[in-house]
Amino acid sequence: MERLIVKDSCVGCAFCMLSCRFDAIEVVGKAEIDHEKCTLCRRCLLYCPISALVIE
Amino acid sequence: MKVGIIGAGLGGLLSGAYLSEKGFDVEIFEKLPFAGGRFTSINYRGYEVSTGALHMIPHGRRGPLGKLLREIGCRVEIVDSKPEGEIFWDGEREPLSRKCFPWKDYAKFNMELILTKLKLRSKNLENFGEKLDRKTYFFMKSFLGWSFSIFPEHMNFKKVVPVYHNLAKYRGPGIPVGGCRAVTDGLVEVIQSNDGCVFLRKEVKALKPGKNPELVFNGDSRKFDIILSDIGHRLTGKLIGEDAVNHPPESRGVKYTISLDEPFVGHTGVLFVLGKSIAGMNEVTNADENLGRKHMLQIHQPLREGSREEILQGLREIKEILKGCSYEIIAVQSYRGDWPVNRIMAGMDIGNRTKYDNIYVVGDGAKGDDIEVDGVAIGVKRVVEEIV
Ligand SMILES: Cc1cc2nc3c(=O)[nH]c(=O)nc-3n(C[C@H](O)[C@H](O)[C@H](O)COP(=O)(O)OP(=O)(O)OC[C@H]3O[C@@H](n4cnc5c(N)ncnc54)[C@H](O)[C@@H]3O)c2cc1C
Ligand code: SF4
Ligand code: SF4
Repeated sequence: MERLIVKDSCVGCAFCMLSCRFDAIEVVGKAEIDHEKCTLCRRCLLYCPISALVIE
Repeated sequence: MKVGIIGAGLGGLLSGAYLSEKGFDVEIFEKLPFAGGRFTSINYRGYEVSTGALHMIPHGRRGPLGKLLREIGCRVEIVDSKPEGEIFWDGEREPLSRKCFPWKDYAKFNMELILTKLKLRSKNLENFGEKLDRKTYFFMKSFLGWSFSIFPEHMNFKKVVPVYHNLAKYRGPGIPVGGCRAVTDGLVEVIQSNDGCVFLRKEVKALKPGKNPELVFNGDSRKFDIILSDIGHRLTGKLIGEDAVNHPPESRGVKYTISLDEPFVGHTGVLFVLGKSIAGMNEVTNADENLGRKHMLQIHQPLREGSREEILQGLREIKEILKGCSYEIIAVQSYRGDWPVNRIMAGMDIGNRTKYDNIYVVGDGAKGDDIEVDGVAIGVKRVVEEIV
C-alpha cells in the first residue's frame, strides 16, 4: 500500500502542515504524518521547499 | 536584454521588479506553488502564518528595503514600531532605552568601536561580552538572536559597526500592513504590469553558463543574457555542477506562532527576552488586526544544531512565560541547511558575483552589511545598478 514518507532531510519548516487540508501533519522539528487522516492527495509534496516528502 | 531569475523569493522579486521597471525582459522561475519564498504567509486556521520572516522589516519604512520599494513603485504601507523595543528580564518588563544598562558598558562599547575602526583589533562578540554587565550581555545575545539568528561567538565586532550606524541612521523596525506577503505580492504585480512573468511550480534543474546562459527545466530549457540566482552560492553552484568549496555556514532558528485571547506584547515593537533560549517576540496583529483571527504572537529562537531538544527547551520557556494566559500554539517552524534563516550567517557574506560575469547571486545568500531583508535590499541594489 502507498504511504507518505518524510525523509531525514526534513528541516521542520511546517509548510506541509500549513498546506494540508486534512489536518494530517504535525511538526515539531520534523514532520509527522497521521496516516489515518492522510488521503494521499499530494498537496503537501508541492509545498515542501526541499522535496523531503515522497509517496512510496 | 533578457534576464532569467531562479527563485521568486524577496531577492528574486526585488531584482525582477527593478529591472522590469527599467525595460528589461524579466522571467522568474519558482519551484513552489506560490511566490515570496521565506517572505510571504499562508493562511492557516485564520492566521497569516509567515513562511519565514516575523512580518518585520528591520529598519521600517526609512531603511534600504523601504526606500527600494518606493523607488520601484511598489506601494506597501509600513507601520513603524512604537515603542521600538522593550526588554523582559528577571520577570520584569521595561522599555528599551539607554537607562537599561550601566554607563560603564556604553564606555566599553565606544572604546571597542574606536579600536575596531582604527583596525587595532576586532573582537569576537562572545569575548567582548564577557566584560559586560550580565544584563547588557544578555541583551546583546537576544538582539543577535532576534535580528540575525546567531550567537555572540558567531560574529566579530567589525561587523557590528555598519549595523550600529544603520540603526542610528534608520532606527528600528516596522511592520508592513498585510504582512510580508503584501511586499512580495506587490512586487509580483509590478513585474506583471511591466509584462514580466513569474512562473510557479517550475523548478530549475540545471544552469549552463556561457555567452547566453541557459536554464534547464523538466522537459524544456531557455536562454538568457543574464541570470540572477536567488538560491545562494552553494545551490547555484550545484545547478552548474560545481562544488562550492569553503561556503560559509548558514544560520538556524525556530519560530513559534501563537494565538492569544488577550494581547501579551501589547504594542507594535519587539519584546526582547533576556537570559533564555528564546530571543524575543512580537505581536504584529497590533499593527494590522487582519493578520490573525485573534492576537498573533510570534517568538523567535536561534538554534545551534537545530535539534528537537533545543526546540523542546524553547517550548518549556514559552509555557512558563505565558503562564496564566489563554493561548494556543499554532505552528512550530524550524529552519536549517538548504532552508535556513539565512543562507549565509550575518557578517560572512561573500558578495553577489560568481566566476561567470553574467551570473549573479541575490537574496540572503548574498546580502549587504545590514540586518536581514534590509541587507537583501542592499545586495539587490548593488547587482541591479551594475546591470543597468
Ligand atoms: C524564522 C525566520 C524569521 C525571519 N525573520 C525575519 C524578519 O522578521 N525580518 C527580516 O527582515 N528577515 C527575517 N528573516 C529572513 C528573511 O525571511 C529572508 O532573509 C528572506 O526571506 C530571504 O529571501 P531570499 O529571496 O533570499 O530567499 P527565499 O525566500 O528562500 O527565495 C528563494 C526561492 O527560490 C526557490 N527555489 C529554490 N530552488 C529553486 C530551483 N531550483 N528552481 C526554482 N526555484 C527555486 C525557493 O522555493 C524560494 O521561493 C527570517 C527568516 C526566518 C527563516
Ligand atoms: S498527501 Fe494530502 S492529506 Fe496527506 S498529508 Fe499531504 S496534504 Fe495532507
Ligand atoms: S515542508 Fe518539507 S521540510 Fe518542511 S516540515 Fe514539511 S516535510 Fe519537512
